[in-house]
Order: sequence, then C-alpha cells, then structure tokens
Amino acid sequence: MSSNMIMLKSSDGASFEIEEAAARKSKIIANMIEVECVDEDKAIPLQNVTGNILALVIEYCNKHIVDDDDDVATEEASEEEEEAKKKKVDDWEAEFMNSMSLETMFELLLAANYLNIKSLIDLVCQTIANNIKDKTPEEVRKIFSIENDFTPEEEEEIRKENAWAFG
Amino acid sequence: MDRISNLPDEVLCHILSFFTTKEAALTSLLSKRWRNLFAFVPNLDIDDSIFLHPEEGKRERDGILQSFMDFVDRVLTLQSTYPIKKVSFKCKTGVDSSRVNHWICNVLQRGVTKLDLFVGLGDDYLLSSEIFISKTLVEIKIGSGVKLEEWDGEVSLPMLRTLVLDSVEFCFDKFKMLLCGCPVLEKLEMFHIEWEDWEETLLSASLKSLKIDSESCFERFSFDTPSLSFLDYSEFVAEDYALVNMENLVDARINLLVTEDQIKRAREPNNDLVEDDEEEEDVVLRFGNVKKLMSGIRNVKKLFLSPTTLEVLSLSCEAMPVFNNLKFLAILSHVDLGWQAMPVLLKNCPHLETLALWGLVHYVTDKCGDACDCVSREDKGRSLISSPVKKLHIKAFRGSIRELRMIKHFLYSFPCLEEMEIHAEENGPTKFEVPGIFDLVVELMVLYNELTSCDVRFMVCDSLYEKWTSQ
Repeated sequence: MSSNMIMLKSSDGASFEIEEAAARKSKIIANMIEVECVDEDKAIPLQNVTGNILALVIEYCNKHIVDDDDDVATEEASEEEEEAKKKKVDDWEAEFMNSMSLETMFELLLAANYLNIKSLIDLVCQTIANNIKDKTPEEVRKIFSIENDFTPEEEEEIRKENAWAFG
Repeated sequence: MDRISNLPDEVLCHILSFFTTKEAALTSLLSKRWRNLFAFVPNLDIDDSIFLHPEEGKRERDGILQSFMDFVDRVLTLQSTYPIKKVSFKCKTGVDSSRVNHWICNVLQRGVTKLDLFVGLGDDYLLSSEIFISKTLVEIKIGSGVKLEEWDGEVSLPMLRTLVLDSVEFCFDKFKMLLCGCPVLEKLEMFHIEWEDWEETLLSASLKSLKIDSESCFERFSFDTPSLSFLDYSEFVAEDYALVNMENLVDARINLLVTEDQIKRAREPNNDLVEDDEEEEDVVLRFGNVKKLMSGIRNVKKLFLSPTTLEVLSLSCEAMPVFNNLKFLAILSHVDLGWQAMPVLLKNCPHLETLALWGLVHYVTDKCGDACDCVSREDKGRSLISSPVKKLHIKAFRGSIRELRMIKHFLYSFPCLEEMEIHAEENGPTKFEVPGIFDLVVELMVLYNELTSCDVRFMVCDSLYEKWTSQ
C-alpha cells in the first residue's frame, strides 16, 4: 500500500497531514486525487470545515483506513475473528460519538456530508436517530431546542391524521 | 432556526431513514419544518401491529385500522411519483386487501428495489400478480399465507437476486414459472412451503445460495443448479432425487427429516412386528435414494449433517460417494439416533482436516464399533486409523464416563490428530454439577495433554467455570 501523505487545510487555516489511503474515504478528496489536481506540495483547501472538526474527520478516517483492504483478507479469517474485529470498531465508534457534544455532532455531520464520507454520515445519523427514538415530540423538541411553531389547532389536526401512529 | 432543523433535507431524511415509517411520522409534530419530511425518506417500513403505546384490544378499537390505512394512503400521496428504494409492508386481518395491493402496485411503479411483504390477510387474499413483473426489483420477501395460484404465469424479474418465501403455497407449475422469470437469481430461501406438485425441479443456472426449511413429502425432487455454492436443506426425505446437479457446491448443511416410524422400519426392514399403517411404504428404498443426493453434493468443502441424516445414511453406506474436497465435517449427535454411517463417512473423506462433533452420545448399534468404542471388539476404531483428521472439536460435552471413554479412544485412534478442543455443555444438565467431577475431568485433560502429542484443550465459559470450581 502506498503511504503517500497529503495535506488538508481547514477553513480557519489549520493544516493537517493525512495518509492518502485515509483521505480517500472522502469521495470528494478521492476524486480530486483521481483527476490529479492535487499538487504534492500544496494543501487541499476545505472551505466548509473548521480545524477542530477536520481533526475529528481525520481521526475517524485513520481508524477506518484498513477497511478497504480487508475485503481480500476476510476470506480466510474465521467468523469469530471477524466478530471480534467488528466489536472493536463498534466500541471505538461508540466512544468516538460519546465524546462529543450535539453541536459538534451536527458540524461533523455537515463536514461528512460535504466531504461525502458515507460511513461517517451513517454513523452520525444513526447516533442522532438514537437520540430521537422512543421519545415524545416534546422531549425531542427540548433536546434539540426546536421551536414549536404550530397553533394548538394545527397540532391537534396532525395528531388526528396520525392517530394510528401516535396511539 | 435551531441546528438540527437547519440541516439540509437530504441529511434529515437520512437520519429519519433509521426509523420505521411510523417512528419517523412522529417527527411531523415537531415543527412546520418537519411536517412532511418523514414522507421523503427513500424507504417505507410499515407494520400495522406495532403501536407506540401498545394496549390490549387497541387493534380492534374503532377507527384504528381505518386510521392506519389512511396514514399509508396519505404517505403514498405525499410521495407522489418520487422514486423509492426499500419497502416493507406488514399487515394482518382487517386491513383492506385491495388497498394493500394498491400500495404494492404504487411502489412497484415507482421503481422499488427491495420489497418485504408480510401479509396475513387470510385465505381470500390474492397477491397482486404485478409483483412478478418488475424491471427494478432486486430483492423480494414474501411471508405468511400467500397462495400463488390466480396469476396467468407471466413472470419477468430480470434484476431479482434474492427471493425469500415464507408460508407460501404453490399451485401446479407456478414454482417453475417463477424461477424461469428470474434469470439472475442468486439467493433463494424457502420456509414452510406448500406444494400442489409431487414432483419438483429446482432449475436455475444462476442460483448460488439455497435454503429450504420445510416439511414437504416429495415423490421426486431434483436440483438443477450448476452454480450453487451454498445449500442448507431441511426437509422430509424425498422418495427419489432424480437429478442433483450442484457441481460447484462448497458448503452444505443437510437435515433430512424422518418420522419415528420410518426409523423403526429402516432399522428392522423385515420385522413384521413393526405396525403396518395404511400408507405402507418401502422405507429402505426411500432412504436408499438419498445416495443420489449425497453423490450430488460430493464436491463440498464443508459439510454439516443432522442426527437424522446420519441415521438415514446408514442405509446407503455401500453407495457413499468419496468426498475428495471435504476439509470440514460437522456432525450433530442425538441419543436416539445411530452413528452407523460414521465409519464409511470417515473413510470416504480422504482429505478431511477438521471433524466437529456436537455431542458424542448416540444410539448404539453393532456397526458403531468401526468408529467409536461403544461395542467392545478387537478391531474397534479401524476406520479412524486411516483418517487424516488433524483437528477434532467436541461440543456439548457433559462429562459422562461414556464420553470420556470416547475422547480417549479418539485421542489414541486418529493417527494425525494435532488438536482436540472440548467444549463443555452450556445449556442443560451435566455431570459437572456433581462436586469433584469437574476437577477430575480437568486433571484428566491435563494428563492427556502431557501424555500425547496432541494439544488437548478443555473449554468452559466463564460463568460455568466459576460455578463448577466453587463447589
């Protein structure tokens, strides 16, 4: 595997060095590398991502760098090894998501969306979804500070048309 | 606006895609921004039996089912002609069957790729035949009480790779027609299928993975599946397996079902004491044809056999094929079923590396002696001496004297054995509950490990280890 290093530059001017294989987790960066518009000495500017968020993205990509080569190797690995490996990744991801505030989570999601890193989008969306699941609308509004802009009549109307769902 | 509501539509829909449609629908109450967002998730997951606050009799309460049907209608109207990927409909009695078919047609027209249907609407329900004509469907699951009869037989599913059928009834020829219309089908799973045909041929050039778990009795069953690599077959023994074409099979799990009466007849074919029932049949002949099935799967690398399968195989020992590619053989044991086929099986696996035995205790017959030491005789274990087995895994070990004797016997009879892993039974009674037995067995295993060139390992899960050592 090539261990080419490339440079990324955040919107607030911080520079990060990252292995090309890790950076390729981002479809956007991978495309840039494909069409060779990456100058070896120059950092890739990422206008929409701040330094602290980019650091998290890079941490995630470095952790998942091996995923793509694994497809070949899995053939011989036993099911138990596979399971143990998956559990390790799951634990890491849970810890990773646990360590950040909701605010950071949204920024990370926007960055993942902008950089097009599918597995990271899935991870953050799943985590936010878990925060909403099994909660009443009132609780969800409170967690995310969502303002209720319905009139009581409108709210009643929605409750009525979703009677089956709301129970 | 708050942070989450500020996210782009596509991202919010992605978050909502982790919910069932019902859970997602609850977000419509958050604010105007969220009012109809849930309807634009590219998946639909609708289950009429899951209520947010379940209570007794809720389903029967006035208006609930009506509200359910109106809800689905409303979601589909909101989505209009928007493309859709994955759809799951689960509904039971009381839901209007014509509306269900209307929903199915709606999502088919919008290019659904995965469709999961569980429709328990009773005998009168006829599944819309449009489901069998789709250029986009990649995966179909159909569950519960669907009878495939009233369709003109036209099937065209050029993209379909996975088909799962549960409790489906096939009228004459429908199964063949269905398979004919699925030219790229790779995975077929069938559970509790009812057939009108007594003869069936599973013909598919593309099929790679097949699972059959049913209780049907066929006069003749044929597999014409040259690309098949995985087979999981659990079914009553067919009278005949006319054609078994699976040259490329790698992994097979075989569970041939038999009745107790069939076993009695098979063990004593000439015994008049075995009661005749009205449908007397020649069990010996029926079981004998299993050799055709075994011959068809002879290229496997990995094979799992159920206790009844092993018993059935005892009647076709002379015709046992040589499993030249087999590296891994797993055999489940049952106290009432015999190991007569074991010696021949082991002899006919010239390249076997791992033998896994789930349980050692079995029904003892005079033929056992070739493999185990149940019957005392001079040349016991003869079939093991030529076996190249390197690893022996024993599961569900209960610590009885009989099992210990067999372990010792295996240890000294398999000439190439390098590794023996013995796992203690985790669910169910064992001898280890008797104080002192566990320590004795551990000592014995340590001794075997020292005395032989084989690496003997005795594995016990943590909780049981604590329990048995604290006695």
